[in-house]
Amino acid sequence: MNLLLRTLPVLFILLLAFPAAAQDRGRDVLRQLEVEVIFASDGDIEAAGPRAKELDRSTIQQLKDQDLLRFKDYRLLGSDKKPVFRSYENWAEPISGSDEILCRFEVGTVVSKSSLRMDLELWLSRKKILKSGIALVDGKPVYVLGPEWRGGRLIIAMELLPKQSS
Amino acid sequence: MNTKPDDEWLALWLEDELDPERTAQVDAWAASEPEWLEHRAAARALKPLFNEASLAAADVPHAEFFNARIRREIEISAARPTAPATSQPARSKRLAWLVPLTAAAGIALGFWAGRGAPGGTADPLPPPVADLAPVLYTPEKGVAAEFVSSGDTTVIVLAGVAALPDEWSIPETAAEEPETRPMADLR
Repeated sequence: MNLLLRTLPVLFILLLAFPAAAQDRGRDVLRQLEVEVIFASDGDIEAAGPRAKELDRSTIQQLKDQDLLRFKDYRLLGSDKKPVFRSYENWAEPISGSDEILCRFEVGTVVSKSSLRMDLELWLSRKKILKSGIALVDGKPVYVLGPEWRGGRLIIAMELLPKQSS
Repeated sequence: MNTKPDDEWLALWLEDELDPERTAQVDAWAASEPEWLEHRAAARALKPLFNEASLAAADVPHAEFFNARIRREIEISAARPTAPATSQPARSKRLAWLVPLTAAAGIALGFWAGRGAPGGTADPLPPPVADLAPVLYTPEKGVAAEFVSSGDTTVIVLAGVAALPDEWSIPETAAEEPETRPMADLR
């Protein structure tokens, strides 16, 4: 009993001294996921609307290098960057203020320092259209050739980024 | 008694446990039933044997027996000279302060190990190759997904997806800074 009474204060002090130990490791941020929605068209690219932005040249070249993604022109409709938690899911909303295109993601397995196997879901018009388990590597985007829109196609690009990336 | 007694009477009569009045009545009936007289003679012969055999089992010690033994053990224990509290070895007393510290160190080590060593940058073991193969699933009826990998680029082609309505456009808010979601933007 005396021993217990002597030990309790020490344990109490320890608990106060290690607040980090009480934190949830599941909230550790492993990476960031950037999701972009690109309008690709062989027709009138201005159909994307006035809020669409020009796409950078390197991304255009990357898209044109792929037969399946080769179109005459491209526009960026929106993008979102969200942290990838160790154990919790997160959502990216690339078209801010619209739930028409959403991406839900969570970590499946940590493959290496620069790669995660992710559970990715693509939601279109509030319906889950695609569920995938796929290994993502830093800086190597996965493209989803998605639905038609205004005479073109929407391409959803998902890329893993280091967690410090701005 | 001219009529045969019922089975209950007969069973008790065979065991000599019937009351005297009824015993007399059954005896009167059994006088003309040599077979039943033989049964009773056999039962009487066996009875002492049964009693002998069951005697040991019936001779269960009384509860007082156990109580007495417990009381005696307590008395013996109380009478035995016990070491005084001060007879604790001096060395263990000197090191007693180490016990809570050791416990504390153990707990701290447990926390540390549970959270992972700070700065631990060791690459985790790669999962089996089968775990790296992409898995696609399309819950919507009529939608199909195909995985195409070319060099460093991965493309998933969706077929059969309903077109987005042409009326849909980028909302005005999209041009502004994305809204902050405290729960989703924890870093």
